[in-house]
Amino acid sequence: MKNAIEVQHLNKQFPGFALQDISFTVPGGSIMGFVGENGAGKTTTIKALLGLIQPDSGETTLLGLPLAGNEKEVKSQIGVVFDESYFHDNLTLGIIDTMMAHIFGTLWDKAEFAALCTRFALPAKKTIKTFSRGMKMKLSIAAALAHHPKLLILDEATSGLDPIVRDEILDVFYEFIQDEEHSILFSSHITSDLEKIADYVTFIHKGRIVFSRNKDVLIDEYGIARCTAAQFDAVQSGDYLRRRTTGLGGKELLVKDRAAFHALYPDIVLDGASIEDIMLFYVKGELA
Amino acid sequence: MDIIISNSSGKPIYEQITTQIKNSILIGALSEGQALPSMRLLAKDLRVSVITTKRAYDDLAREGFVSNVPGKGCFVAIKNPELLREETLRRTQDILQQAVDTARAGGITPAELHELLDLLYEGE
Amino acid sequence: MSGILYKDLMNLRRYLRQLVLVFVVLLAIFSFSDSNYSFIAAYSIMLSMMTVISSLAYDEQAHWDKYAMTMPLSRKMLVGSKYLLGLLVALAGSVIALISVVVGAVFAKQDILEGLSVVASCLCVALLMLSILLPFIYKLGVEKARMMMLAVFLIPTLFILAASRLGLQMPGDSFWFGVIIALPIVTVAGYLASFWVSVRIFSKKEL
Repeated sequence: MKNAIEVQHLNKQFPGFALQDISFTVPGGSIMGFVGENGAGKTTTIKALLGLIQPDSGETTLLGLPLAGNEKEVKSQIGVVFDESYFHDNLTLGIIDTMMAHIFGTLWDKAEFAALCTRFALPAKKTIKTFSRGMKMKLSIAAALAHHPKLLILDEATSGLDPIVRDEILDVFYEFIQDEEHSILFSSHITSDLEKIADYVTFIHKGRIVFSRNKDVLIDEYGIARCTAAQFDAVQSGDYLRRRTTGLGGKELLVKDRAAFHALYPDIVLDGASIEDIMLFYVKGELA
Repeated sequence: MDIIISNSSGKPIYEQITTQIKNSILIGALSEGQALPSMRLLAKDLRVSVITTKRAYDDLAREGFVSNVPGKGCFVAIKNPELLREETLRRTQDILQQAVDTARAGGITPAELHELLDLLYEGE
Repeated sequence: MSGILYKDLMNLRRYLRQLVLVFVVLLAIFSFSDSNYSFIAAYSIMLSMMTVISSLAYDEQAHWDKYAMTMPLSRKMLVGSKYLLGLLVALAGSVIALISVVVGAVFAKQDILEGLSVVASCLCVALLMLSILLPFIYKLGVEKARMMMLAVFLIPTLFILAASRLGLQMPGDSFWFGVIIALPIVTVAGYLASFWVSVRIFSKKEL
């Protein structure tokens, strides 16, 4: 199966910020979590993927096709959700339904849209102005799914939502991924959502890709070693990735293979590392 | 099929899945030829990634507990008595390892341990 | 493009209804008076400009362009829908004004020919105003362009006032006659040229 998304050597310069040599691949049928702090470049990368901004250099493909020359075909098969609502205040579900039917033609599934709106308990007759943030988000997701896309691109689509709504939405994404031809690129700084659902995690920091790895490997193999200053002196710098100093003078080390580390230093306390932990170590920790 | 995942058990999730499925097969809760849920469905129900369930199923297939029929799914393989024995041995070894570690740490000699083992084995 | 147009019209429907209602009521009142025509002129020009500006303001507020470009729509279509909207509303305004002219001619013995030419000229001026305004909106955004709109109105008005104060000779009838003939051609050309420019501006825009 072809890759859902391919990004190769993407570069884009802005005053004060730049995307530098961004490369990663989202395999078909998988979910990739795209993490990074605010301002790291997640949204910029996604915009470049979608042709909303023009990269300085680099190549991208969506569903195996470059965007240039294939815009209609590609865009009919993707669903995009940003973190803000883009429906005008005076519209209602019915108007949006009709509008989308015009835009997507036969691809738009009115029954599916209605079913999703009902599931999300969205009021049929009220205007968007009366919708809460959570409702607007659910509407955006319903609109993204109702034309049966093959690829979902979500940019912070669950940020600012309460855990209950996020849970409902995650369920919808799980259902979406039941079809093996469906893929999701999910950018978020709520790493707990990604820890559940993602197959791969790509971490971007200050405009560069830090790593792009299988999530299970990150969770099962990476670890945090907690050692005293004395213990730390005995540790070789090649055996860990990053370090942080604790308030008590000890050290916390991000370790790539905790089984191996434990074999080398069996007396040092070793914990699993969450995606958030790994992010913090890369952003705030010092190099080995 | 009952599978419970613990996020704090320290064991990788795919391992927890394989262990529990193997267990179900061994005690007969899953019978030969029975279909397992699809990788994706299991991932959704357990709220884990598909790669995790895929790995679990691949491991089970490799060890002969299930067979992967392309296009149809995963089915419990015919029970192989050798397999069963091997698995039980492995389990027992893990548990014994724990006993040995405890004994060693507490200064109990191998001879004392053997005695204890015989006592327990006859006791049941 | 039909989808976008539908959205714009539905989103603005209350606003449009108000504008049209006011128009019709005032027309009914003024149908029978003499100063009818200058009022029609101003209002029907305003109608299409205000509608298009409001539509673009709503789009900006909702970040609609960004989202629209993730769907199978081209930037050309997005721009085209606004030009189409302007055209439709200007035509609708002209039809309403025409009805008033006919009523005035039948019931108040007003010159129907003069009325028709005023309506036609206003239609052209409205479209020309849009031709100037729209590329600016695409380049600068709605807020800055609103100020431009004021300037576009004020400058010729001030010029005409100043001209009459200073006793400058207004061009004679033959000049105006030439203008009236040329107007439709200039309007069509201007509208199309404006569309082309707007598409170029919008195609380069980073969303």
